[in-house]
Amino acid sequence: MLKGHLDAVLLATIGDDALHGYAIIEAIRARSGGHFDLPEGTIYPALHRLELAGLLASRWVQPNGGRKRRVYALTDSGRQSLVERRAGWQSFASGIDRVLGARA
Amino acid sequence: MSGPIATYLDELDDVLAFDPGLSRRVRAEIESHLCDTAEQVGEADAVRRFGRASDIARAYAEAALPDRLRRSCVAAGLLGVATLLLMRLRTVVLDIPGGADPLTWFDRGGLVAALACIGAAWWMASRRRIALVRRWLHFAAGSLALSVGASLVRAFQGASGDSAHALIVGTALIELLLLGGLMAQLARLDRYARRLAL
Repeated sequence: MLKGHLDAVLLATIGDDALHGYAIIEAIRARSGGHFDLPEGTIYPALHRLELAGLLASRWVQPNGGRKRRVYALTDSGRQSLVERRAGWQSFASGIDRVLGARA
Repeated sequence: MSGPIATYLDELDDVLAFDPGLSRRVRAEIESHLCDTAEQVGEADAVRRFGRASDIARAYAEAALPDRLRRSCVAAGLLGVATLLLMRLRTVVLDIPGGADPLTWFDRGGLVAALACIGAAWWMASRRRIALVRRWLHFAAGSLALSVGASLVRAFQGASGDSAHALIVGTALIELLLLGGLMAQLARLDRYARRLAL
């Protein structure tokens, strides 16, 4: 079920931050209350796809004494895409709520 | 480095061999991730949670395929336009007469066929018909090579003087560079398609 929304979930999780893959997975797990425990390897190809589409930009960072990591941040196109995806999701969820609510 | 993570990264290198640049990038990034996870659950579990290397490679190939298609189509389009312009430049500057000889036919016919193939490839790319995109781009590359070769022979036959020969060699170099670029893009696209069994 999450597969069709993975891109939106990734964009929303990164938001205004610059996060590396491991932190993104941890954030998704925490924000979803453990509902979305994704196979970890699925995240990286999706991040790569979003970067190639111009929605994310990445760079290597290495904190003092820490491990070198690639961090991802939203581009202007990524922020715009997130706004559109949020609006689309809210419209969809509202429609589903009305349908399910009517049958209850 | 040895152990499950090193073994897994080597396996990943093997299955990502279709794109060495991507393989280097992925290895560095995933090694960092696996080391983070291993600090919590150990190397073996970190590898198990990450997923099979062949599945990861396939997902990367699928993720990058639209970009590979776009690059190949852009390279073909650039070569088509450059060939058209450079052929016109040679014809006008060197005052090469047209005619019904086979060279003229190959020159112009090859270019027209190539432009038609490039158009077909763009159309197929918009419909994600990967096998047909590759086929049309290979036809386009062959037609362009034929057109460029015939155009150069025609130009050399009608040229006299150092400046004319310099013009022909200069434009030929540009066309050959662009043709090489297109062939390189097509070779990479073919490797991606083989990885995805398209």
